[in-house]
Amino acid sequence: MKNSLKVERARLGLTQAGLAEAVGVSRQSINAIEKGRYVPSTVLALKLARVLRVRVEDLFALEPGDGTVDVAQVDAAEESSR
Amino acid sequence: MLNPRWRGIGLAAVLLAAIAFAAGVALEIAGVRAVPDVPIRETVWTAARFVAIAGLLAIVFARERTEDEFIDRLRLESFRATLLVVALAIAANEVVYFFADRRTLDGAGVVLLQLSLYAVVFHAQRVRAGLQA
Repeated sequence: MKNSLKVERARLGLTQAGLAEAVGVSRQSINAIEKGRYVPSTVLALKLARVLRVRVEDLFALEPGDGTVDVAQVDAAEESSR
Repeated sequence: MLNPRWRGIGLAAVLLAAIAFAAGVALEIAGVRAVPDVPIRETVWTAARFVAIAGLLAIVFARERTEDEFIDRLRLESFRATLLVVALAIAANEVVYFFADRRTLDGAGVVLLQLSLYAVVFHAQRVRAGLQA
């Protein structure tokens, strides 16, 4: 999973420590997320998005290595249930 | 979870136990015996390992300055890696017992191994993550 946390943080002129304090985690956690070494929980992702005033989807995005998402299968199931 | 300063106290206790054990070995080499027919190393080790276990518990249960989900993840990864090594050590111990009728790892030894390995692995994880020691 890739993320634009560093870009969005810089956009607001926030330091890692400042962002960490705002969401209640350690600076090292922010550093680990920015470097892609740690994928945050949904709660933390929502907190980060709220502090950075963006949507979660703008912060985090799936990469090819994250596996496939078969939307067509869901669409077919939805279609057959109608 | 304990206050972060317990990490230092625990480390001091572990060092004290290590020094006591080394002193016990030195006394044994010198031929000193606490109880007739009982090597002094065993007498000292019996006491020292409980000090070591207490110290390691203090290290393991000392909380970080900021507790968060990332730290929880590091703890879990450290525990998982440690558990695997300890399970292998116990299995090896049983194999030795089967063939040689001799156990080298008792209950306290397992606890000591688990705690000390966990403390080392978790410390390495903390350093790697840039958390202050």
